[in-house]
Amino acid sequence: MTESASESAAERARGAGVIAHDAQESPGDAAGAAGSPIIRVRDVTREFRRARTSLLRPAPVVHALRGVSLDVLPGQRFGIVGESGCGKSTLLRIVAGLDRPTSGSVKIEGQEISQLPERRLGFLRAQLQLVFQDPRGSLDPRMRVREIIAEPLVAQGHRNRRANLERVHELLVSVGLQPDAADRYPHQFSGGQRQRISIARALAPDPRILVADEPVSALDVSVRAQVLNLVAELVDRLNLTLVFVSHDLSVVRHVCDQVAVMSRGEIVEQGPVEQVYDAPAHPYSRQLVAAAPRLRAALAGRTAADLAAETLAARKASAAPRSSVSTTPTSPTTSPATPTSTPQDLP
Amino acid sequence: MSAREAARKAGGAAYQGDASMPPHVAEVRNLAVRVGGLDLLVDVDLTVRRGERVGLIGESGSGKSLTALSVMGLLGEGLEPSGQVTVTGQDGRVTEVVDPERGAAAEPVLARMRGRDVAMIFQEPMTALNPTMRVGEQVAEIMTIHRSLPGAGAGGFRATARARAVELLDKVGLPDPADAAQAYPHQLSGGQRQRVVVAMALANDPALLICDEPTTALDVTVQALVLDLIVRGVEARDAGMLFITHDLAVVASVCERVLVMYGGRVVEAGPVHEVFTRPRHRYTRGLIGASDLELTRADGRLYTIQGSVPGAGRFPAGCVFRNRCTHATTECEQLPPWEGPGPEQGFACWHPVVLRDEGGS
Amino acid sequence: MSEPTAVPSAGPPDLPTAGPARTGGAGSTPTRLRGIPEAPAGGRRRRRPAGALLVGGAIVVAVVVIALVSFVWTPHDPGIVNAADRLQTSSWRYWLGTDRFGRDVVSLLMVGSRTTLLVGIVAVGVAMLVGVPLGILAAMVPRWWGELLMRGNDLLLAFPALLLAIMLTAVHGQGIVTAMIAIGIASIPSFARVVRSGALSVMKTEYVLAARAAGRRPVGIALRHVLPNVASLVIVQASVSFAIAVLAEAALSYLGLGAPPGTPSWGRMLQEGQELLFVAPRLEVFPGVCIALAVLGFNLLGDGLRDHFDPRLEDRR
Repeated sequence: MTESASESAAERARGAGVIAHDAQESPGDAAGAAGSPIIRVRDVTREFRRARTSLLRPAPVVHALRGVSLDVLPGQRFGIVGESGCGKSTLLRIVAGLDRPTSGSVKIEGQEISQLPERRLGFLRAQLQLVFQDPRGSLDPRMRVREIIAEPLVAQGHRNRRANLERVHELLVSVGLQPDAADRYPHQFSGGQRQRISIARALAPDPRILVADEPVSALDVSVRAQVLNLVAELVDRLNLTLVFVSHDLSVVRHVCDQVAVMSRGEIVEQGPVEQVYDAPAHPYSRQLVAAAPRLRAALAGRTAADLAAETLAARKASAAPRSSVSTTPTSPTTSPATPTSTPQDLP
Repeated sequence: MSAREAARKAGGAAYQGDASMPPHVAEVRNLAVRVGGLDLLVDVDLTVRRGERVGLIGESGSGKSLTALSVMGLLGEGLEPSGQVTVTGQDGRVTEVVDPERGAAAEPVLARMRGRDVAMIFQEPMTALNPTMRVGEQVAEIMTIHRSLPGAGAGGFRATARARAVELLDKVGLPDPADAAQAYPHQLSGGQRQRVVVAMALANDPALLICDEPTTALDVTVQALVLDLIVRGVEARDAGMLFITHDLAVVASVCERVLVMYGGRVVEAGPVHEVFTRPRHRYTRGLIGASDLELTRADGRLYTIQGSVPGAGRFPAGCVFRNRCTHATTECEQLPPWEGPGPEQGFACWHPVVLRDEGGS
Repeated sequence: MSEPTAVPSAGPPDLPTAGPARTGGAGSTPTRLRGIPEAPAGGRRRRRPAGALLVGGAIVVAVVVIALVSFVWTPHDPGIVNAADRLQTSSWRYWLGTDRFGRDVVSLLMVGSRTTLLVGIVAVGVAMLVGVPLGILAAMVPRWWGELLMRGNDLLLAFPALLLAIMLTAVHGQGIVTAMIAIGIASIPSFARVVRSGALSVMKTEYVLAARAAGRRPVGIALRHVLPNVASLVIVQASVSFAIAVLAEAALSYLGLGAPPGTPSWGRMLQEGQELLFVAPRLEVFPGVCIALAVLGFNLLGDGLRDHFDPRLEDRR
């Protein structure tokens, strides 16, 4: 049952109040892509129960995801943008099989993974790998680099140490490090180098999908450029599908061809990256674009006051009743689905 | 527009020795910081005047945070500063934070200065606030420590401080300031906490505000508002500001002058527009290229600076950048001299970027 | 903006910088000073001789050596009761004098060290063998089960060790093995608690998430990631528990519950010397000093080991 990605935008919009630009013509789709999505997310919700604060009332529920749907085509570079708390990391974990949704369906390469027990997810681990944000926290400080990079291989049953070591060396070179880095510990490397090690680890089992959770957010600017180039090169060379999550719209714009903008557990806008960036339709996307300080604009005279004014203006626009999008938030929750309504209520 | 602002906008040099220019609030001359034989900062010159907004740009290991801490007298144990650092408060009180002969000033002297003549805003609002103290109390405490409010004795003093704290919280844009003052830090969002920190920093109307990546940890929509808040706060008090960050766009939005640091040294300085559109030092050029994500090479890749930043104390002798510079020659083994009218404008490079006459976008 | 020169991009191999880790300071300054070392460069920091390790290690080694030597030689046979020589002060013959039974104090101390070491090691061994897996288990199972396990642990913690020892003695008779097991059981809860909290923070790290993403099963994660990363906590706890075990053994012997009357033990020496405190204080002082030194030695060793094995990271968030 392969559903093509050409579900109408209206159908998706009905689902979650989303403004969806037609994704068919976006560049970057792998040549000859069958059009069936390699990642298919439908109406995924995720609720967390917080600790009880009162004996009388039930524990508060956090709606981390409120009905998210998206499609990623093979070979596509799909970006997810949103600020802290929007649910993008939760979504990533669900897609990667590290968490289960409260409801909804997640299909990777046609296989439904949302209800599979951990032991049946082996195939997923071989096909989809992650790169994390924190270069310090994502590498076990007690393990040597070669053990870290070989871990996916070992965990998936490839125990031949010789072969693994060769692969480790190969991977180190392909991420721009010396093979002798294999014998060292993570703390001996800089942040950028650790991210390279992270990437090498992710590529070890030769996955088809690479999911990156803010991989460059913790890095210096010049290092960021190197790592972004590296990611782009590897994605091209190995023909990977890339899902790239970031809070930084400009990074996503550079890396991806499709983007979904998330806010408070929902996707508010989706489409080709240039379109969303140049002509954001949803008020929240407009806020995001307005608020980001851009070098050229700043040099042309855009001051902090301008930044703030534009952000507030975009925010005020979101307070006005949304006549263009016909849907209401999917689940009755205590907090509104859109950003705060009054200008006084500053974050 | 005053003559001073006109001069600033024009981006001209010749700030020094001009009696009509506003006084320095911070003056750093030949600052060096060493730890156990390693040089972390070398030969740093920096000035900030009243009402001036100066940016300090650099990446990890450049020494920008250390410079800020040196001005505050907050260097950790084992770090030995040398050179001269002078801070002048709103009322003209001068503190020699680092004296050329005697080294770092004593803690009581520095404590009197901090929070009053100069204040600092750090990156992480959660760690800058005491989690066990209400927010209003913390703002009030800044004022009671420095006795900066005239009060009717001990009892009345604290009450005045508390009232003023609520005022300040209102000024920084917290909704329901009276309620907010009763809140604990964890009950506020990141942006709100940073606003509280701004309120604390500006409570005593310091002559100089130092910000070390104040908005890096915040969401971008919040960042815009907090940046504006900081700038307005500084302008209202005619205070000087030293703004440290790695984000070029933020510096360009907020500052008038900028210094670029690498390897513990200042490698270039000048008006923001000038430095960012016509960089002279090779590192500055590389940095601008690397941070511009809209600018790509023919193959679609970003421009990068090759290699990576060496560890502390491992920068090459002579020009600190030469092991990563594509234009380095044997000449670069010698320390390049500073070329420019003064520490506020210039660069130190043997092979600077050659400007074309129609350079600049 | 003028066209930047085409600088070659990443591609040239990056040599790892074997230098200080990125953040400096153990959280003492508010800013994270990236790249700034608080002390001399990371590489050097490791090699600087750790005072605790050396001193603690020396003391522990000394005690072990004495215990081993006591198997082959002691100045006098501590088993022989020699009424004629009772309560002598130090002399060339009896270096530290004799006790009320005429036994040489030095020989008693030497043989007594065996008991001390044995009890300490076995008790801590038992506690670790049960407590560490328990702690890890409690951290990795779903929250309710973990809490249940910990409440059971609390019960054990609340139970007085001495009472446990008495109960066991009543069942199995007096003996050193009983004492060791009792003390061991009583030490389990501290290990379990400490390990559980350490394991919980390890489970929250991104590298464990990465391990799951790599396909590791929980057992693999527990062995490969959790255990090595709680090791330093375990070492410290072991040294503390050892000290407590030694003191507990002394207390039990003092009460007549530990080593049987014939076996010399430092604790028993304390008990026997108590009555003669004003007549021959050395009979009380020397065993006491030995206990204190041994405890100190193990504590220092634990501290030193923990610092030595900690991967040169200043603070882990």
